[in-house]
Amino acid sequence: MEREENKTNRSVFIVALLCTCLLGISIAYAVLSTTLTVTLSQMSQQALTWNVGFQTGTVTGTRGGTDGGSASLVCGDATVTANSVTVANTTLATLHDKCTYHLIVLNTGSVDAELSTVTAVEPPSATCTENGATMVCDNTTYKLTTDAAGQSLLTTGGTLVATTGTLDVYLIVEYTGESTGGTNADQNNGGFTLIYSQK
Amino acid sequence: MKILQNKNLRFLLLVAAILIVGVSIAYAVLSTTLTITFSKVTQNSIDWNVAFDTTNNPVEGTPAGTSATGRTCGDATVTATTVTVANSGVSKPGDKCTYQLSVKNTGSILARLAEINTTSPSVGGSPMSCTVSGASMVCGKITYKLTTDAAGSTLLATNSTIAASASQAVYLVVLYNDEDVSATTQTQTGASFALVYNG
Repeated sequence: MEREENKTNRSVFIVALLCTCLLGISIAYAVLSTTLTVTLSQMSQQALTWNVGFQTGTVTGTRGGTDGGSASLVCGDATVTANSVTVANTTLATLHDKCTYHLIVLNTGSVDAELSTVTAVEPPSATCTENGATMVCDNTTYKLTTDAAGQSLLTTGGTLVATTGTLDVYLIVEYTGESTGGTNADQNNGGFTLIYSQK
Repeated sequence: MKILQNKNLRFLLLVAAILIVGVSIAYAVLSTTLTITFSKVTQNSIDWNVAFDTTNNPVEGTPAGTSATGRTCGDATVTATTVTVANSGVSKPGDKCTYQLSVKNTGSILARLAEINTTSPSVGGSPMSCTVSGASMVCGKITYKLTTDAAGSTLLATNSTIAASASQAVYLVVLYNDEDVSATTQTQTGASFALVYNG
């Protein structure tokens, strides 16, 4: 009987010892742990609009050249949508004949914009030399300028401010050849591409 | 007495005695005691201390992108265990706020990043559904992430370690992840990361 009681006491002691050890290990493990927290109080994503385009309408070309342009000079009208300008058939008959179109680029969005790229588009039938906003194709020069006289070429950069930004751009096509040609030469679909990006 | 007087019996008893002694000796040869002794066991004291470095507090967000329209990088207030970023905003492609934080281990044992837990922000009081991948959380048009580089390319990962007496730079990056602006405003509240370091 006594032996049984001793045996039971010993078992209880061993179990108690084991529990104590396990508890000690758990406590020791919990101490060696830290949580670091990063919190963002509030992140707002504001409503914005992007809207850069031409002022729409029909623009009549201004005739120019010697004595205001030759009798055979024809400046086709420019039909302007928000993102395209299409000039109707135009005839430059003699040296210095010129047509000038006053275009306006508007920024009615809520993000500032800048002109990031000006690319000339060559008419397939002509041999052209490009240099930014000017392109010389055989006897004809195409250019985009910021003045009506055609002296200041349009350049990249600058800011078209949000909401109210405007830029006057002049599209000029001029007969600049050394002499008048013997036969008519048509140049189809020459022009420019302007890319505006957020600033 | 009669037994002992018997010569044969005396002889047998002698033999038996000799055998018993011999077996005892033989048994003694097949038994060896091996002893292992610890001269001294020393348990060194351990220091555990992993926390944010509060030397630079508050931490200013580094803005990136084009204009400041729709972008605000609030300051981050740093305590030993928390970083709280004030109200901020990102609203257009390229907008980003980057915060340079530092986790330092001034304890005496290696610290291991065991867990990275995220809490999605709420919109209008309701938790958002975000796409979570480790230390990156994409919530609508806003991405939150923890990285180990300022460019925000390398995500902070579990099982990374900080040696005793060393620090690790951690960058909180918040950015606008869409390619276009949005016509609607959204406010996300309470996005957070919890970093669990263990010894």
